[in-house]
Amino acid sequence: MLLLTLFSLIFSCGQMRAQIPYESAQNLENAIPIIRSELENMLAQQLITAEDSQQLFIFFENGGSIQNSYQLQGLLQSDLPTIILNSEHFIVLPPRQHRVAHSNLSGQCDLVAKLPTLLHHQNKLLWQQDSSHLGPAFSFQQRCLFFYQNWRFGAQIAKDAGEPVWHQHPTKGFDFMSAYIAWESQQKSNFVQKWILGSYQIQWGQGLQLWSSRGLGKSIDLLHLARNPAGLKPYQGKDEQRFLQGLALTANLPNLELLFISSLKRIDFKALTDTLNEDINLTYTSGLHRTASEMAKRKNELEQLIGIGIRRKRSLYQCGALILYQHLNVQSTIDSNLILNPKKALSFCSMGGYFQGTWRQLYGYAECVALCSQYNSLRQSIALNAAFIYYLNSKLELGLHFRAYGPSYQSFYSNPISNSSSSSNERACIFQLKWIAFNSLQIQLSNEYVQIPHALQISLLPMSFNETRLLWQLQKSKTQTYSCQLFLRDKTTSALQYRVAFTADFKIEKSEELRIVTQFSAFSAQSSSSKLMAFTWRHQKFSKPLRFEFIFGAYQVPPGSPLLFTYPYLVGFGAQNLRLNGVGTYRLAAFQYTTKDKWQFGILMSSTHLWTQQNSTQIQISIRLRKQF
Amino acid sequence: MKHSLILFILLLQFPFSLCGQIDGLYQIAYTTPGLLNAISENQQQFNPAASHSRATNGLRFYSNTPIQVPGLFSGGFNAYYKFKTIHIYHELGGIYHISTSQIQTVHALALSLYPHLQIGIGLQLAFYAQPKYYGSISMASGRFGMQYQAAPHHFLSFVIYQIGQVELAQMAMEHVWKLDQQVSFAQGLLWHPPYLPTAYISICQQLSSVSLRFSCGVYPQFYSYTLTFTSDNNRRLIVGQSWNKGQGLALQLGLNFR
Repeated sequence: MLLLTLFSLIFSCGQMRAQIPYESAQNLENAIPIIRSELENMLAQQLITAEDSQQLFIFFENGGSIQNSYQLQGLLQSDLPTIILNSEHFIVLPPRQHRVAHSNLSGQCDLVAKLPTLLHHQNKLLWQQDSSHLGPAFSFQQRCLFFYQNWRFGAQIAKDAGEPVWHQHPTKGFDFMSAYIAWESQQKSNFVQKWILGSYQIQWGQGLQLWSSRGLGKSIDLLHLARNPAGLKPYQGKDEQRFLQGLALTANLPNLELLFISSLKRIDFKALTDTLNEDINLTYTSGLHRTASEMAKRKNELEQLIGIGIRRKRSLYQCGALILYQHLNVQSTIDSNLILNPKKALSFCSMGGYFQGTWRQLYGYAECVALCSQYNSLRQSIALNAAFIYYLNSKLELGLHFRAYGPSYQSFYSNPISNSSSSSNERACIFQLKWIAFNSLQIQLSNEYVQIPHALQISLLPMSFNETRLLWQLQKSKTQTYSCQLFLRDKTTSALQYRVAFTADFKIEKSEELRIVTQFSAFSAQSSSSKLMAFTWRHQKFSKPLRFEFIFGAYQVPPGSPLLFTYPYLVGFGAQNLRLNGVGTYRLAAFQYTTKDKWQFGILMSSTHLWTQQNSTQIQISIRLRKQF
Repeated sequence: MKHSLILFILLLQFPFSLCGQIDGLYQIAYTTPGLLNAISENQQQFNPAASHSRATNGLRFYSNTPIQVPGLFSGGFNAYYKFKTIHIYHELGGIYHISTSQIQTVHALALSLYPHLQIGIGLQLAFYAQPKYYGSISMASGRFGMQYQAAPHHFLSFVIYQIGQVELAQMAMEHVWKLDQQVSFAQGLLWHPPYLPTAYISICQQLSSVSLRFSCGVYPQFYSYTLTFTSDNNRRLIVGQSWNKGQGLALQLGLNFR
């Protein structure tokens, strides 16, 4: 009955909307809306640089949205005259208004495939195949996205390398499939504003209670100390764990926004007995189903979420409250042992509220969540998250963040500011400072003290550490930027770790960009150290269909030295995550070709050579095909 | 075995200004003090992109003799010229020792893509022979280089050596600050990843008929100095000496015709 009522409401709203002409369509003809899906277009037209594109990507990923042009000044690294010049080509629109421009059917289809890894060893080229993997060694992802008026439909199938294409158990189908149908109202007077049936993501508050998308963790930038929740959005990513599946809708009440979510999903759950992590979130598997043991965990448990939230959003502040019931239906006998763990519950209800807003030169937020379960006391199950950012003047900003996540606090999908990517039960505070010393020199400081006092497992001891990050950024001209970051981590249980990273960016003419990166990291108690040196050359010329990028890097990470990570952003393929260990070199080459009839072809070739006794080289080739219509 | 031979040869293949060493841990490094950027001379020997607009044609002979390694000698010649907008470089050289010998040839092209950016690619073919021990091998590899003038007095270079021979891949970068018309200062880094990076500084001064270059660096510890005497008819005599920990002293001699 409830569903029928909802559907009748939705259809009535849809019919009403179809008669409304889109009055500003003429003005939108050439302007580009500043939304995530248009980042690539903005980059292609050289309205933003690759760094700015990445900055905006992170901003959107963290739930941000551009409400006015002034935000760009704080977000982008380009200088003010350039932003002003290019902002003539932008239009600030909420995403839903952009979609109205598509009065006819439009959309895009994507195919990304990664061929099996080639191994070059002793002058022979072999396909690398792990004998324990039950499926073929290639991976692919096929996505389709359609817009029709204010409807949106998306579907995808995907598999990772080594996974079987088709599964029989526990549910038949491709390794990973997701789909959704979404509708969004264009009139604020409609009761139902948006609904999604299928896979979706939600960002709420500051990520303490519900934030299903992944974040990029802590940043030295004050801008990322506070998050701007995007609310409800359809999901079509490759991550097999962090999304919800069911029906969700937002509705309009007088001065308020109502949110209803429901999700029913089979998940790959990893029993806590398999891990020693003190995570807030449920411990999912990696999402890979290659071997018999990994496949045994595929969709082994049933997860249910249901929640109702209310939010008041104004230009200077927003506040909201959410009641969320989270339940994991444990079917396997091994996982039922979890119930014996006094710290973690499998069925609980959480209630939380948040506030964020601006008052004069002060921006602040706070979120508090309490968890009710039959196993834990309420006092130990409270989590609090608060921050203040003070704009002292145009050249100096200060930020202070405080968090205390109780020992028994947990959530299925949270992503607050935390020490680890999956969040932990910890107490911490962060002090940040941003100082524009000269027009060309910017200094940022971040100091954090973290305490993880609660031993979830007997083997875990209380731990505390502090982290200091200092960043100098010198922009000598539009074409030259230098940055140097110093990182220190002093941990009670291990030696002092320090890392220095230097980056030099050169923009030669409009189409060529060069980047040189060096990193050095070591533990104070050891003589060995980790080193990285990389060089990037990017060619992307406006009005030319071909773009390419080439990266060459060499690294040295001896045993016992800190690991190194690098995240190159490649033309057409986005950010890549490289975890460097051992001694070796890597090469990445990406090409993208766009035809006039909106076909886009991309190829990414990477090879990694590791100095080992075998002295072998791994070669990977990925292709991407996209058609926009 | 093949690699030990290659490593041994490698440290000698840039005989003019490069220093190399092998210690008990097979540590190898060599440096290119102040030579990756073409400030006043063609330097395509070390960076395929480093051509100079005022030194478009020339012929060079060079030799290098490590004093503390008996019976070791290297030498060769190279030529460079301009063809339309491309700067072309050829080199033929060799190393001789009683136990091993090497012949190599390098060919490089440099092109100015933009007013301040030059790129270059090179092909290196080498033949290594050690008939009494491990036999002979031949090897082909590529080079890629860039030279960028970031400001009127600042030059940057980046070079990747031994492309295609991943076990030998090396990268180098260098910054040169031209203090005035006579004096320039260079700092650089060269790295073959299994070993420690080699960092060096170099200072060059141009006098009326003589130019002097002094370089020093670490891993391995080394220094070198070179004197270049210029005659009226554009002939140049180059005399140099270098020392590094492990190999000891070496003497260099060269002739340059423009």
